[in-house]
Amino acid sequence: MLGVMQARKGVRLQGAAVVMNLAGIANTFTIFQLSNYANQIGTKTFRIKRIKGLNAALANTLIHIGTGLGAGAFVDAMPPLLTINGLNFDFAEFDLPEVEFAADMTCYTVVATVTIQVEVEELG
Amino acid sequence: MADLYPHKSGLGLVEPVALINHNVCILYGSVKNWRKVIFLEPIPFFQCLNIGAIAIQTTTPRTACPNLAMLDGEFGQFRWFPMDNAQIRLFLPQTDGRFALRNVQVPVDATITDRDPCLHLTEFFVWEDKSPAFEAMNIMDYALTQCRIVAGGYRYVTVTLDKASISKIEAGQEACTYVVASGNAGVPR
Repeated sequence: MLGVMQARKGVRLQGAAVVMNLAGIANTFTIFQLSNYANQIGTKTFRIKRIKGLNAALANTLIHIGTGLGAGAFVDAMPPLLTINGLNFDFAEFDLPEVEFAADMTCYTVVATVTIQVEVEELG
Repeated sequence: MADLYPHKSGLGLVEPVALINHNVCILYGSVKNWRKVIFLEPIPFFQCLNIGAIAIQTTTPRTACPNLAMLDGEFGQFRWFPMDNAQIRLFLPQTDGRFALRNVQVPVDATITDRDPCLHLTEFFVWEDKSPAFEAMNIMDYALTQCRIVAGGYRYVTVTLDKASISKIEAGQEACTYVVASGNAGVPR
């Protein structure tokens, strides 16, 4: 039945591995692009299911996840995440709030360089 | 005997209410449309309407859903659920509320996929282009950026029944499935 098949479950997708080699809100990177083809039937949204990355910044640093590109446009979608110098980070579904995105997901790091990749579940 | 059930909204996955060569009587308002099914096909679940952004604690106007309209001589059988956190009321046609009790018109929200996993209690029928309208209530203290409705079911192509067949049905000599395709304000008292 529909509920058993999780009617409100979406499609699991992934963004590209994005190397954030510039720091600060002025250097916001797009890390997942919402499906928004003009001919598609319906409106899509998505939720983050996993954030994987590597801190190569030579310092502990915060990464900000949100929407909008650049200062004045970027809005945090959740609290910033602390990543540890020289280590991989891996935030899974249970570490993250159930934020639903209706626009491309963007990110910036306070100190470069950080590589990041996200897995999402797209609904709609 | 199943064919004689006055209205079928069966528990379980969506099943066609009638098959090819079955008689149906589509009730739209006070009009009885006597028809015979000549073709049916499934309509997979799809996003039929996005009412759009809804401000905090606001009710939208009744929004027509032309994506569920059928061609002439056709009727549709649909089950549905909302994807976003709003309470949705169904109107069919735009002036007649569905799922109506004496004091409340029952809304459907996203919990329906847990409370009624096969959605059979959300089932409704659309006759020709008399498509439904949905009204959404954002009950929350934050705005909704979209309000999406997903529906699926069956499409039926029908032809008119001849008078002899109608007489046999009314005399109880021939089977017919009655399909309710509009709301009902109740019998005047």
